[in-house]
Amino acid sequence: MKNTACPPKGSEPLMSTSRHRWQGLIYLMPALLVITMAVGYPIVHLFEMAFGQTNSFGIITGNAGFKNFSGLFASGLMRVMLNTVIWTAGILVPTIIISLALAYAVSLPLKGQSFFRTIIIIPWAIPLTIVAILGDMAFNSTYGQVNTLLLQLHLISHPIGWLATARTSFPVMMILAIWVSIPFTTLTLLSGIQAVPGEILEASAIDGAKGFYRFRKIILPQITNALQLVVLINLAYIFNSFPIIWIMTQGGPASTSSTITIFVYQLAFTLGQFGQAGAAALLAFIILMGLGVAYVKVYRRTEGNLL
Amino acid sequence: MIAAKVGDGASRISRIPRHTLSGDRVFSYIVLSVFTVLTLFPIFIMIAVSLMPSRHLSSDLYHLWPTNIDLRNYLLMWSQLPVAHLLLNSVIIAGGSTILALLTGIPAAFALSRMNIVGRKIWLFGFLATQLFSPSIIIVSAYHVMAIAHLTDTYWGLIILDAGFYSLPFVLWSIAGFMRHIPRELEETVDVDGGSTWTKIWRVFVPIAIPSIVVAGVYAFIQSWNDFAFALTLATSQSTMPLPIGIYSFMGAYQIQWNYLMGASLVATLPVLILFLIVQKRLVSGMLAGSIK
Repeated sequence: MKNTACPPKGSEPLMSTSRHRWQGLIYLMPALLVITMAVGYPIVHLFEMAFGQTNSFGIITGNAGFKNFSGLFASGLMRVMLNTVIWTAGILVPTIIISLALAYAVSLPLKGQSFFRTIIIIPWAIPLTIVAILGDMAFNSTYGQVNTLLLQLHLISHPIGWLATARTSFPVMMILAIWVSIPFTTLTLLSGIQAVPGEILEASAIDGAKGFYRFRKIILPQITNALQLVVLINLAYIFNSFPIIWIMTQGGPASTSSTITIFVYQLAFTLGQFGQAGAAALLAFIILMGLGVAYVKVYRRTEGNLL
Repeated sequence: MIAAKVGDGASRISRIPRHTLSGDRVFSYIVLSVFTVLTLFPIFIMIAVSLMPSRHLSSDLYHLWPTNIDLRNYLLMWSQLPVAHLLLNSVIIAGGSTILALLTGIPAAFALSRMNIVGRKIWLFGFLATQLFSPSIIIVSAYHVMAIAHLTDTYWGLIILDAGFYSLPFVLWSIAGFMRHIPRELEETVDVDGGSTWTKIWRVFVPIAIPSIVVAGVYAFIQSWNDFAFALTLATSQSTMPLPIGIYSFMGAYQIQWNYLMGASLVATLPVLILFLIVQKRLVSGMLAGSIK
């Protein structure tokens, strides 16, 4: 992270004498120290662990080459990767579709508009840990409120063990994750819709554009930037999600409902395989880097005046 | 209804002629009603279970609403579970990491926005890139950093991690973004008086940047309050456990006292819910600028 040898780039008309440029780093130091301790050094250490031999406390005792990576396959990497893809896509697509509908709905002049906008924030404002705990209770196999409700509505004849197998627990947890992803996505898309020039809407109405056609042909093309941003942010957020699965199934039974973040955490803190945890973390990092590059590209195109 | 400020009342959508909107409005009411029911149901469950008397809990849990509600639960839970202590832990950790993130983040934001420091763009990008990691992955190695520094199961350990991982990148980006637009003339008056850069930061820039500092601070507080992975790993005893993790740890009990757990969950939710409703409009624009999560 020490990047003192960086060449001076794109000098703006700010303070520009080279002495000043170095002195300015003093103001950065305290923040840098905290970030280095919390993230900077841990990332370096993650790399060291990935290629190192580690004992069950995570202390590096030697060099392992790529052994940790090959060991991942025996630990069930392929299943976990497949789960991560299903998890990410299965949450992202419904989240975007539902949020588009909600954002358009609350952009219209409706009665109770401010009430609905408040409701939309709620899933975001409940701590994720609490959402997962609530989900764990509501989907309990015997007394869970979801079973109670479905029994009363005669939709099922006996209680379902929602969290007992991945076939039901994975979709249940995905629904919760969609629910918590909707607020941020909706509000971002809403600000995109509100920025659509009024003249375009007026003109299209005169041309007879209505309903879904107007939404798809007139509004959607105008909000592609906002849409790209929320897709990328959501991808990283969903890919990284942890509390819902950890609290409700811990990735079980037998890691059938495990995603890469659960896998990494479990390798390290349940199984004491810190080397393999580092290797899996590195794989996740490479995937996320691709997302990061795409994000910066999209962001710079929209309003990236700082970068 | 603070949320009404999301869009300016006179949104451009209102320029769509009304008669072409009737179909859209029916559709909108249906979508919004379904979402409202699905969102209020979990809250309803939380409240219903929190009101179930302990004596009837095992049978009441099979119903959606308690047979006779017990308001004393909201008093009893404070003595049945160490809710007050866990709440204090949450306040100390979230408050501490907010203060740490602001104290270190404000000078850094100044340097990144008003000085052409060495490697400026690389710093900015580097801070943003840290947001790509999941806390549950970072903690695998951050745990060792904290163990070496003897900071496991301490407030300081969680304060540093929360500030460095959750808050600082957002604080830096959003405050730097705000400070960038402060006119140069204000700075020059201090230069003429011969004041130091520190005076300039705290006396001139901070008072002007207060709106962005408040939002960044609230964001930092919420993020730390909502942390799961760090506290799950580092707070191994109740002495440092924040409230949400504490509630989770009670789920391991032989007979889970869901009524008290739901009451405590309401306590853990309310502060964040209120903060959210106050700043949510600015949070969205700030998050787009400063964070990838």
